[in-house]
Amino acid sequence: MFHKALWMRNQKLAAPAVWAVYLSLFFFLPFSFFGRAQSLQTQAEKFNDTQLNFTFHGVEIALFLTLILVGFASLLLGQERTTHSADLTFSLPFKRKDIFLSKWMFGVVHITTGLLVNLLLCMLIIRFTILHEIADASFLLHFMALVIPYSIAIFTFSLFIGTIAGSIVSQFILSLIFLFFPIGFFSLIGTFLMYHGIELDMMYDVNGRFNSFGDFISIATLPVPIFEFAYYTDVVTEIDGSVMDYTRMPDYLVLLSPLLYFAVTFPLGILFFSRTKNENNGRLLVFEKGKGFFSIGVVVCFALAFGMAGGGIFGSYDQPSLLGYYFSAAIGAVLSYFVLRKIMNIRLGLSK
Amino acid sequence: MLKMINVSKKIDGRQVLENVNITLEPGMISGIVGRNGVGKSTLLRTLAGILDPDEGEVTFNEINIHQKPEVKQKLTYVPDSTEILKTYNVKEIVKLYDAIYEDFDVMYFYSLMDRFKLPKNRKLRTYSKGMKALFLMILSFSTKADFIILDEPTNGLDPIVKRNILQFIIEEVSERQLSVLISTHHLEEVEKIADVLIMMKDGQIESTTSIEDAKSSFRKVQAVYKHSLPEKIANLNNVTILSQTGRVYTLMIKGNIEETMKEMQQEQPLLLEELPMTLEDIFISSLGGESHVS
Repeated sequence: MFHKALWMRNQKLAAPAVWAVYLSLFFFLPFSFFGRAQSLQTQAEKFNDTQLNFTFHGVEIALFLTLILVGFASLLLGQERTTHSADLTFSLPFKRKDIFLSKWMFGVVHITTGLLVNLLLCMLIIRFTILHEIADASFLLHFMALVIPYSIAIFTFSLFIGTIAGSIVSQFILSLIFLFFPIGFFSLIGTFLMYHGIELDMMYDVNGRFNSFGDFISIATLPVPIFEFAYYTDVVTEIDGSVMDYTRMPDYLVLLSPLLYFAVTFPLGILFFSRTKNENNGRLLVFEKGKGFFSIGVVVCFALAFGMAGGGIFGSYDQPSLLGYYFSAAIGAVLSYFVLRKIMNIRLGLSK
Repeated sequence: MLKMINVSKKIDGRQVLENVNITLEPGMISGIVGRNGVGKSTLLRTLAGILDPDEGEVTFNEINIHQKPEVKQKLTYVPDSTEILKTYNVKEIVKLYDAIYEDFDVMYFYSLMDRFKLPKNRKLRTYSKGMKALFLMILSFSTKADFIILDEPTNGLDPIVKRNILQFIIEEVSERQLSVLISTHHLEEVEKIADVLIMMKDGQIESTTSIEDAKSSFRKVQAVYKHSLPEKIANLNNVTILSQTGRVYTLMIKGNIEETMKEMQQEQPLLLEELPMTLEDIFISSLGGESHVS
């Protein structure tokens, strides 16, 4: 299954993304930790300040990390479709399954290594700087347990999208849209139901018990639980004898989400890549059969989104206009239908 | 032996390949010709395992190449795009191909680089279009594959390099029973080097013959009659009018040559003479159809 040649090819294809993974994680994690340790040190020495606090939020790296992971998958897969080099790869004496697995493995190895090494460096920084006095490095282990499976799931998901998208651009955009799809789509459904007199509990709190519709959709949206991770420590309270050291870690049950995503998108990715239609490379989608389903989905979503926006404009806060909702939805549906018809057959590719 | 058995393929709802059957024997150079959009590239990409057939199969030494792509260790494809591998330098490509193909001959590759005077310490993107095309061909031959598919291989090559590369292909084929399939619009190349001529029309194989057979089954003649071309001759199915200037007709006869010539003689022509024929004449009369490029 492992072919050195495919590894070399992936290295060449995704070299910018590999650099981006290591460098960005380095800047967002150890570099930032060290900078903050230095400023806390100065604060403590110069001003004899006892109000030292240290915080870490998953959102600090999650958004950028998500973009890099999606970009990584797009360089590995979509790029070949755009530059015609997929012809070379598919003419080589390798099974398509092995080509896909080599791309997946290449990404997972670099993502996991990047996260492990940089989080380990962060732990060392906490251990050997002033942070040692105020922070407990174990929060990074919790973060690691969350961010690694989520990153692998996001990367796998984006690679899967690459097996149905026809170009690097469509893979990148569709990956981002579908990564945040549950939260967006269910908000649209929630609004639709609200206009028809059914209220859903859209509030969510992934750190507590899952008991609302909002909880469910936020867990179903891959990157959200990483955003929610937070660590906070404040040395002032230690003077009073009560240590304020708080880790907001989503319930470990949320780890089922990346597991489920992986269990679905990984085998489907292998299947679709093995049956890929290279004649459609450069187009929005690779498979002709999925076009109808995709088009209906896009038109429905745009109709719901236009309805959500338009219903608010036509009605008042406490009395939304159902007529305005449907009128705007119809405009959204018609507009999206025609735009989609135009872009569906555009071939995005570099000249031969 | 590379076989395409009953292969059909639709793209965008259009039947691009229809029931295509080809058998390519070792030690042969086959030229595939046809008008633009007739399905040549689709056929080559299907043979190379890049595209999947909707129906039928492609086998290499009786093994289905789509199910067992490992057999492509001995089958390489050189696309018409010269943009692939452009971010690599020569050394990186050699390393890559050495890792891909078990029999890749590094020494042979460098000897060919010297023979064709290609620079070795540069990135491929700095090569000219012709150099890139030549490089990809050299790379392909260095894999020691038994079967090589070349899509428009001489595009962008200057006449001297073109002549050298055609000579090189002939040498390779005669030395080690290699089989080469070339798709090209340059009919004089096919005429020069190919043993077998495959003509494609509307996604189907119009004919597969040796170049000699192809030529012997056609005759190009110039005829002048007292008035215009007799209706009897013009209505013959195997006669195509290539050109007409006044009462001077240039005609192509396909099959049944002697009998047709006799009939033409019976109509008492003022002039009836045989003209030298090129593959281009056969191409135009067989595949010409309407003058538009599809």
